[in-house]
Amino acid sequence: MTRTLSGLLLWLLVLAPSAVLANGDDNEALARRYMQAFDKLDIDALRPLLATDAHYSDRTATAQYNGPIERDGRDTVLASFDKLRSEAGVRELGLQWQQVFQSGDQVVFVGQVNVLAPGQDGKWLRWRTGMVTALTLRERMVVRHQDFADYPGAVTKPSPPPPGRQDSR
Amino acid sequence: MFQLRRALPLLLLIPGLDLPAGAIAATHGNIAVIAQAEAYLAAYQALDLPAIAAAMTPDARFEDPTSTDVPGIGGPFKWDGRDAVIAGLRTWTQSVRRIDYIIRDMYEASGRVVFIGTASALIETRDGAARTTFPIVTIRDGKVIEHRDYTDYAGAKTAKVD
Repeated sequence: MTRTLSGLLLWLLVLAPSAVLANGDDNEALARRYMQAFDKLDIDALRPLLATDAHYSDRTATAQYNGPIERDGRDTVLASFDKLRSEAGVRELGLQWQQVFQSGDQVVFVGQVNVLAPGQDGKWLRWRTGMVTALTLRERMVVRHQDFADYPGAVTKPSPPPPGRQDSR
Repeated sequence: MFQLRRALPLLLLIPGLDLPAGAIAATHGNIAVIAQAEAYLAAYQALDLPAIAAAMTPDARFEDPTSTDVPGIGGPFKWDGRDAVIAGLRTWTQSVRRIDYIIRDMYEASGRVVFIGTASALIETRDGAARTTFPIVTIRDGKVIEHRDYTDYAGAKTAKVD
């Protein structure tokens, strides 16, 4: 026990930054590429970054958003992302991160989501709220994607249409 | 056991709510769940093991996935069951006086309460105490079936205090 505590103190005081950063750069870079593709719901770009047994969850999703959401397997996960674009008309998630950090096989993103999607009246809307995303990586693939979003705090506002579009469809 | 319920948007604050130091007041979400999470967090900051145990269900779990590959911290911190969680936290109390959170954002959705901020652990050393600060995200369920931490260990800063 004493050795463990001494080790903790030594790590905190001396070793922490170099020890954790040793293999973290690659994971964070890969995770950022994944999140860029996720932001655009770019299924072709996401596919090679997701493990075949990947799992997606959003346990903060409320019933209004068909939550909680659990998806098993790459094809199932990608199909659910694709539905956001093909059925709900989502053009982008509008992810904005104030903080990104990596520790071991985890890369954590803290910020906001600003979904651009058509409303029922054909006008475009932005749905904005806070979100934390935790990605688990294994062998340079994303094996787990967990979203934790502030659904009750979401704000919806009118938005200009995406470039080249004047209506919603 | 506190039953998890679907989040109800509320726009009223609870007067007199005893928030942890530095915490922000909830403006939406399930206020009852948030209050319970804050009470748990207060006990956790003080490493008040009896209070932590009382707030947890018997099958509660504690997990910090970011601690898995960090050498020298005594991790990974992953304990299944309330007794295992308390036993694990008890090992911390031999060197950690308390953990102070400064919360910059907080929200509740579907029974999960997310705290985003900074945790400072006041740690005993031969030369006094060191305060280590790192960004942290804590995610928990109602009363309390899961406590998840995502900790930026690489971003930790350490300073001696009197």
